[in-house]
Amino acid sequence: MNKKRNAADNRRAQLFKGLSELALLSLLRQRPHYGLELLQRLWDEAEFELAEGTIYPLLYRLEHFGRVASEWRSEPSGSRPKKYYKLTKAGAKYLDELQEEWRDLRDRVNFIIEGSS
Amino acid sequence: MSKALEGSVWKSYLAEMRSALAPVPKDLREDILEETRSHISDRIKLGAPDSEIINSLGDPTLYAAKFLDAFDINTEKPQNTPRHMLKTLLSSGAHSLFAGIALVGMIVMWAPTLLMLLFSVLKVLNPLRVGLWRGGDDYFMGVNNGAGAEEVLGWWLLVITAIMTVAAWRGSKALALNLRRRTST
Repeated sequence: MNKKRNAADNRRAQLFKGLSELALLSLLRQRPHYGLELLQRLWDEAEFELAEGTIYPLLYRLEHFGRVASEWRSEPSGSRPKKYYKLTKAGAKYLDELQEEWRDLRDRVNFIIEGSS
Repeated sequence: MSKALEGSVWKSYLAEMRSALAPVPKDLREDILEETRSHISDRIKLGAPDSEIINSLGDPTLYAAKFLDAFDINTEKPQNTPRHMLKTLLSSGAHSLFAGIALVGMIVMWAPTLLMLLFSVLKVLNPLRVGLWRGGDDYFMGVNNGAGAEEVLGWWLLVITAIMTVAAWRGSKALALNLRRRTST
């Protein structure tokens, strides 16, 4: 029973991770952002509840695979420097693929929902 | 810079993170910690209580583990050794052009190096008859049974072998790193 539950949790986590990547990269296509700024836009504009403990490892992973690049920028007003992320060319191509997959999946699910109601 | 992080809660949180991030290269580790500091100090400025931030980030050791997962860092053994790379190549070589090119690169680097290592061992065992020989205009590498040839490298053979081994090792590591980036998604 526990194994089944774990597998379901794992699938949900993978799906959520994919959607989180899609959301993060879509925001970065508009302009460079720093981590908290991305979180706040996801929380406020999309009510997408990505946890603070999830976003940074995800950004590092995207950077590790060359999909985003980062630079530290010092901030006025004496606050700590912030690490800004921007989309790379490879990231833009990856985002196009993710968006296409997402649209395809959405259409299929819609088709099933509407067909069965 | 920010006094908010001088409290003992954050000091111990960051210290626990630092020790859990030990397998990550130093530059990257400092980068992660600095970004975490920057994040926490911004959240505090925005009025979030410490407990809320800690709840959201999670236990420092588990939080650090997410970065290790993000880089696929296996804490038990290093994954970018030439041996590991050869294993990856043999399993994925047929699927990827780069893996194929890397396999050729590995053979080109290691075949002469292994040969030189063999000659070096023989040279140590029999210094007078093993080396690079010149007889007239001809050169040959190996064990010389006859007379009339002159040995030209001497103990430099071992130095050259050492340089070749280091170069092959470093080259393979660079290829391994590249291959990992290309084969992971």
